[in-house]
Amino acid sequence: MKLWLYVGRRLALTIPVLLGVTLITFSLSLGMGDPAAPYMTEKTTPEQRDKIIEQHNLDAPLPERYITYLSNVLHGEWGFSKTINKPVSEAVKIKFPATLELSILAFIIAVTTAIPLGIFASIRHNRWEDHGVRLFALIGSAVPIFWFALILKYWFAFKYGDITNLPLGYRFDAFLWELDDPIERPTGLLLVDSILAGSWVHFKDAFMHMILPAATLGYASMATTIRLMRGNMLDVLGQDYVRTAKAKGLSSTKVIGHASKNAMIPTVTLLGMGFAGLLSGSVLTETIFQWPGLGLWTIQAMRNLDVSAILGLVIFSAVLTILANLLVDIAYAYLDPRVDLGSQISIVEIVIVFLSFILLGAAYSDLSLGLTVLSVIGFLAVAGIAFATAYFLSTVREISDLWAPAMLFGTAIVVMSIFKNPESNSEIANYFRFIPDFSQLVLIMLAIWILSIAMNWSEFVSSLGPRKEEWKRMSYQFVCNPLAVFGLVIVTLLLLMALFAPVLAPPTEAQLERDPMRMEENFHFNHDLQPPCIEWLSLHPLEGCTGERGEENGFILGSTNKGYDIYYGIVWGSRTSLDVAVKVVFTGTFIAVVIGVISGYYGGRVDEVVMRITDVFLAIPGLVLALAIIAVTNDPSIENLMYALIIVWWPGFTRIIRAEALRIRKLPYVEAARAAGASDFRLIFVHVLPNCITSIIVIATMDMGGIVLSLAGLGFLGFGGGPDLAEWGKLVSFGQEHLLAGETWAFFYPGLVIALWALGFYLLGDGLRDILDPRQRD
Amino acid sequence: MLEIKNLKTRFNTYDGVVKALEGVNLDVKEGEIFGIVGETGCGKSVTSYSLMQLLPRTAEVVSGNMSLDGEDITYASESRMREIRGGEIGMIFQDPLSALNPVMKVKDQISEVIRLHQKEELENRTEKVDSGNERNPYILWSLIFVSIVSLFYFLKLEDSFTDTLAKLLFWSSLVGYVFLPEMESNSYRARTAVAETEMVVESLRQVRLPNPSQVANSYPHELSGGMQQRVMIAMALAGRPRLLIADEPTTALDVTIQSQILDLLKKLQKETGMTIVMITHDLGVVAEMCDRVTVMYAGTVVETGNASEIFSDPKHPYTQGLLSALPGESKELSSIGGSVPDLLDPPSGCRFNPRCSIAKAHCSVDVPLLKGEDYKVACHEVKL
Amino acid sequence: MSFMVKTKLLATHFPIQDFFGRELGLVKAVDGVNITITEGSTFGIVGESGCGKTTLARTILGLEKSTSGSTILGSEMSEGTEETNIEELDRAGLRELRRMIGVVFQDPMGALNPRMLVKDLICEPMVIHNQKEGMRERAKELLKMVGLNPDHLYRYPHQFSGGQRQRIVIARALALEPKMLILDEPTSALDVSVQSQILNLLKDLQKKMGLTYVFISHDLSVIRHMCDRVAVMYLGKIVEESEAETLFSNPLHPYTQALVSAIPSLDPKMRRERIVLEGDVPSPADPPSGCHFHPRCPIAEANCSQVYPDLREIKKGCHTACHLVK
Repeated sequence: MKLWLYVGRRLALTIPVLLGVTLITFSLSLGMGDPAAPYMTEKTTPEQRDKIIEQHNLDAPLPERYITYLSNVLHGEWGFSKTINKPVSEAVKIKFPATLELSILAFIIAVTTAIPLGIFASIRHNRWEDHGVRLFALIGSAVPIFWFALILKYWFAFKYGDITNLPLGYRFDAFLWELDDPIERPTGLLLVDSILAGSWVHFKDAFMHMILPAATLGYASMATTIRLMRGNMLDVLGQDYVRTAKAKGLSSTKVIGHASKNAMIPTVTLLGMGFAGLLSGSVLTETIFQWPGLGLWTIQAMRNLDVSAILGLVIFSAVLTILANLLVDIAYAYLDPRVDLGSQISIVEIVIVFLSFILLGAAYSDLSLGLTVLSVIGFLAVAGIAFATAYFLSTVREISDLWAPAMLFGTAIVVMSIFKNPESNSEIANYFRFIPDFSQLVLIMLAIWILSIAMNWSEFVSSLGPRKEEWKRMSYQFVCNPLAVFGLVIVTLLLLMALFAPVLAPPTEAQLERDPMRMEENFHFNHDLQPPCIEWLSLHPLEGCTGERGEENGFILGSTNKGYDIYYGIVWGSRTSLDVAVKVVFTGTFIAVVIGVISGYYGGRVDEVVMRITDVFLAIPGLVLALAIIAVTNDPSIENLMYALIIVWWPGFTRIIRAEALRIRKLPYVEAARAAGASDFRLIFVHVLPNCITSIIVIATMDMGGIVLSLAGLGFLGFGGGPDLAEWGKLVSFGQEHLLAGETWAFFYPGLVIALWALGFYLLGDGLRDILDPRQRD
Repeated sequence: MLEIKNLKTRFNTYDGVVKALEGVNLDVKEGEIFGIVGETGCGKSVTSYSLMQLLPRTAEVVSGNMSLDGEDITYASESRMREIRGGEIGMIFQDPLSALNPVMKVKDQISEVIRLHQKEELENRTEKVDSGNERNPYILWSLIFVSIVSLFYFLKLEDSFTDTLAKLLFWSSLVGYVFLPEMESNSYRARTAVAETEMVVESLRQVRLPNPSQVANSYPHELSGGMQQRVMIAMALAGRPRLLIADEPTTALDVTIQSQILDLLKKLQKETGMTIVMITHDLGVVAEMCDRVTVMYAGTVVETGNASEIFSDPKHPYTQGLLSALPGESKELSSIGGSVPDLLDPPSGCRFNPRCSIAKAHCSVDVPLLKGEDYKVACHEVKL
Repeated sequence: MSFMVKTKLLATHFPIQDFFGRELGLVKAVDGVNITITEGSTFGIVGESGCGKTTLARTILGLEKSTSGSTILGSEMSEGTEETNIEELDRAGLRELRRMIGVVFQDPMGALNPRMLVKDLICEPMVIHNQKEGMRERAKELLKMVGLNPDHLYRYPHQFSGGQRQRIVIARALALEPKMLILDEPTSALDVSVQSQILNLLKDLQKKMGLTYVFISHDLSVIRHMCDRVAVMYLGKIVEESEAETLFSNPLHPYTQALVSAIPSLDPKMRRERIVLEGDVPSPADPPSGCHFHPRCPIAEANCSQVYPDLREIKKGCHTACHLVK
């Protein structure tokens, strides 16, 4: 009985999140030009357009428009997709099974391989099998999914295609399924339909088409699941009850069996969150394999500025993610008898759910009713904020009580300074491209820090002794971890490459004039790709190498078909990656730390509200949201891409910091300090924050890798900064067209660098985690 | 019954080799309650783990002998150890909530022990089971029947629907062979289920738990601390061991519950005649419960003898210091200066010598051996 | 003798809410407690888990808000003025209070911020209360006072043993020359030999600095050794309170009798029949009716489950809450 109440409660909580998602999509839709566009087809006449405007209240004030929008969404009226030439809701129904089938197969592949591997690695902890599995998993996370897909496609479908008979793309052989021998497709899931029809031929065909894309998608999930399962198993194996089990005389197989069951439970929870990742990944995978699912449609919609499709996809993918999380939550509550099913609901929760419910109901039935409810909610929200502010101000006694608003203000300043963008001035030497304002900010902070040390010089000197000991111990431990050192080496090399780009790949006069980050087209080669000049790098029988750049003649790593020098692109691409990664991570960290600490420390209602907001953002798969933002704002610049990435990235990090702050707040030494009379300000800055720093450093490092992966994904899809910006993802996309001609260098090398960058930062982050906080593990 | 001679155990850690046990000598007689007492790091728990071969991978028994009822089990095989663990030596631990599997019901945790170590008894109580034989021939024969029939059909017939069906059946039966042992063991479980429940409830009743069937169906976290510890005792005794090792069984419990558990252990010992080895740091518990006591310090045994003798007239300076450091009725409390040594680099000679009030020069050179007949002391300065 | 702290019917209740936020019940962690702590004495509070002793200490410190009743500070604690009620203190007043009461917690590992140097840890109270003059010198003195090497100021907590860490915690508690120390299970996590060192140290410091102690523990032998007066708590209420010697030699309340009989005696000739209580320690969220102890009480009668016995003074200075004690 309690379980049903729990299920009901979780279900109820999804309503406000969905509402929040519609708010986001509505705001996005406002930025998209002609408001009637979503509802028009090609054949719409001007009079019909006017009618549409009237019908959907598109010329009415915002609140009315929102309610109408909401009502439309609820009634299934999601607009018309010009890409597919069908109403969005219908298109979703057609395309969803394809993505579903693919995701399910990928999920099965991932879980059936990852869980045993994770268990295996944990049993052989710290032996070479363990390191091997960990490396395998890390590579899986570091490898860009689109690059991996291309490699698979090339090797299995093309090069050895005669042996494997694997098709190059699409979902089924159209001849077989539509002309020769059509079968009933009741479920839309081809494998299932083939079984139902009893046809082995169809089954085989569908399966062969699915293997490569499913393997691609599966590998990334596999990687995270392996690390998860291994970590949880290691935790469980260290528990007392494992020792008791051994003391009972159970064989080690049985003991591991027990441990696995226990370790599965937390793994299940996080698997659900991985589902959002699957959806993001499918966007890239489907593009490469021409798989006719939601992902491919997303890209087509982006390119065509198909507003209704974009927004519909955002909502739909959010629904899927929320459902997946709900299922996982319920599974967890069912599996783990310790979960407290009856924990109290808070006022905030009740209010939010209640109001959302009413709003939905009202919007569904009647427009004016919906408007009334909306205005009531708006009024309550404003009143609530005013009240909260007044209450907060009334508790302020001394300056240090204002630490929270001060932190928020400071963050706003930092964010603004990072994104203040003076028009790029090419007369400034390339070396100083980064210096503008962001660096000034860093210098200021450095100065403050040095000043504070100088003021307490003697203190500082005497505290150096033990600190040096600590550093020595940490460096020693770090050096003993070969993977971490490897990561450090990779990262250093890449950073040096970025720093010395002008030396390693000198730009031509013309480039210096414009912007060295833009690659130069060399038209001399008539749109033919040029292979690398060094034979063993070309991965392909050398056909000769002509050209005026690079070592002797030609391009060191070959060129793309527009004559872009791949080597140049890779070297200068490191600068793009560094630029984006640093700015996004820095900003994101600031925002996440400030909001996370405030939320985690104060708890209560503030925390609840922040959690709900992050819930809404986390419900939309990252890549989808980023794409939607970019498409809507129709701004191809790299800055816009960075904004999109920050918006996508901040909620996850915030929740982690919040959990840390929450945990530390309860520790005895914080209590002791409070008992000594410390103010909140002191507790946060002296006790909570410094102890959060390890998590912050580790996660920020690893995200330096992750952000670049996202950047590359977006670049691969063609977004960010124009086609000639030196960016690794773009280079890979240029190369993919020539895959079938066997000219693999074009996509291979840029992808390799992306993988190396991500791998380096992940290894480094892992290593840092081991030395800074041995309590946590992979 | 249990004899440990010169046991030396080392731990290989990041920072070096920890010499956890340096020549431990123990001698437990059948039917007695034997106490091992000492402070943190003295090696009392490590001794029991060495005995049961439950040491972590980083540790190893370097030298010494351990024998149970005359059988040398120092290097016993893993299969022999599995018989011993739970079947001949039972063990209970300190924090019952973390020592019990949180996601398994109590009855499942106890029945595991019964199925491992009391199989005969289980089968005796069930009819229709061939003793010792878990296999169920009916399952195997049914599978073979299905395979043959379906094979026949899909080779013969052409009708696509029945063809597919036959194919499905055939492949499923093949999969069935893979799961055959699982299915057989499940059916065995089902047949012995009644006897199993009976034995589980009996074991819970033995530890004086009210409502044993309700407890059996609960999860550990639903029970109170005292009840959890009783469950753990029931689990340890379910295999009818002759020796029970209790590693700090009451340290995590409230005082009044502690009395209950100690009382229970005494009663159980009288009822079953088993031997109990009580490991604790609490001298009071030892004085209450134990017939004979061993005092350990920093990986060595310093004094062994009858409880009454040790507590009324301790000979070793450490034991003396320990007893006078106990807060009691007098208002004077002496203490032992210094602290327990780091076993990475223990003092040479007698490990207690840096803190000893009567230490002489040779104490830091020669390791004192355990001298004496029934009452043993390891100190150069003590003449028995 | 004047009193340092007195509580009158002090109660701290935590509400339990059900699914919908309605109040299902109360956890009466502290339920109508009257104690008087006199200057220069050591007042012991004894009880098992869930009895409310830690919550009582936290309420007196102002870390927990009391639900009803009051905690009154004596003139010594209120800086010469007449008595003040803690509930009426504003933030500045509370801060003053914290200056005058030092706290020592149970877990020496967790009570020290692992990232701070010992010097910063000990000086923290001084920084908080803006008494930074000569901080470093004072820290060195404090280390000497607790028996540690003053050169170890610039070390991290993890470089010390458990006993040494507890000494650092005590040094920190004494940083502002408080008048009173609240010690919550200060030696429970320590070995016997180390425990005796710390207890001796505490007694020394009390003599030297004229401190008043509130000593909370579940270990009766330690309480007997350290305390002048003892209060026994059970499920949020005090069931017996008297001088330490009297309590241990002649306990009146059946619960106290069971506790005292559970103290192991090292003298085998002195082993007496233990009183073993039935049943478990009940949860403070759902206390039994009437006298909370009646389900486990060996001498309970019908009346005991109906009416709650008030704390009555049986003899001079001895208070018991039991119907059956005359």
